Amino acid sequence: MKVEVVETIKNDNIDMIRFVLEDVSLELANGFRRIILSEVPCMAVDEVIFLENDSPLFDEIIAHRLGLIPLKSDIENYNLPNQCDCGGVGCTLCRAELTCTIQADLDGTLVKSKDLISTDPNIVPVNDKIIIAKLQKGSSLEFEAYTRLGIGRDHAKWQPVSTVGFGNFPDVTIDSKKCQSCSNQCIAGDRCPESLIKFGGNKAKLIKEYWKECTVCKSCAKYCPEEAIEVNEVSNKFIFVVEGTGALPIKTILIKALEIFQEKVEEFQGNLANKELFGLEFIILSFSFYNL
Amino acid sequence: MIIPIRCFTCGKLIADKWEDYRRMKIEGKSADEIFKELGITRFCCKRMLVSHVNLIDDLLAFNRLQ
Ligand SMILES: [Zn+2]
Ligand SMILES: [Zn+2]
Repeated sequence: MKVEVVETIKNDNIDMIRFVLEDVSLELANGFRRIILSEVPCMAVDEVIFLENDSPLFDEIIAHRLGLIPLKSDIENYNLPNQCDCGGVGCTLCRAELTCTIQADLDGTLVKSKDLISTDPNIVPVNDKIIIAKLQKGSSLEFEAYTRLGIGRDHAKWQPVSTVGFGNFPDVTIDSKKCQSCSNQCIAGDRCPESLIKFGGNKAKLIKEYWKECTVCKSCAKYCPEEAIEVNEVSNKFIFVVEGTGALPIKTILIKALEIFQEKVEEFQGNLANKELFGLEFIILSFSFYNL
Repeated sequence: MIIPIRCFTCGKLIADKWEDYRRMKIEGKSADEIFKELGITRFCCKRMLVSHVNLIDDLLAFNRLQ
């Protein structure tokens, strides 16, 4: 299994990574994607108590908006509520509190994420500019919000990533011998939506590292009058894109996903080893699954 | 009503970008430039900002406390 990082972007607005995964079956790659989406825990507001709300938005709308705000999470020091000693009631080991008290002095005061005061300095909104509500002069908004860990399978607010996806690795070959009949223009190259084919000296040529942009749309192969272009997908090689919400660093997300995956495989293996009923075949199956 | 916290389709955070978008739009920048600056690449997130009508400004005129 080979991993090669193509590009990483990290700034105020975007936090993403693109990498090539090699020697992995499609099923395993998809399993990895789904674990990132639905099994990696992160923190989100789960319960809100309103003390005062004069804004034009209903309590439920504000509660829903609070839930969707990504919070910088601490998955090492907090427990999932169902694994906590308190039994899910809520204690300092599984819950943090965000409070907000605002009295608007001006018309159109925006309530933003910077107005949320956390009991734990590690659990804060990912940035200060997220708009929660708008208030008229003299209105006030006062609430307590409780955050807890959860997983994406229960609600999308607990997804640590906004998008995670992968595509096939493209393999485009151009037979330049067939290019002779086109004298000054490459029809197929003009059709490429990413302009990855350049034409010069009676020859069509792919630009360097074209696979970074290629979407495997195959329009070049379709429109080439001489059928000189062939587009294939490399088997067992994928380009992954992971874009985080900022709740967790992407590296942590990927490592945690692999840990969870390994736990699941080991559980499966253990369950199978206990079953004498099925004989040796199932144990062999479990080992072959593990070594995929 | 008010700008949604996240993109309906992909889940990217957009509520923090609304004010910047508005400001740059008034400055006369093209949408293309603005999206590049705000790090918005997918069209699902672009439509969230482009098609948003901030109706809450109208509702604020009817103060609950009056
Ligand atoms: Zn607890
Ligand atoms: Zn989107």
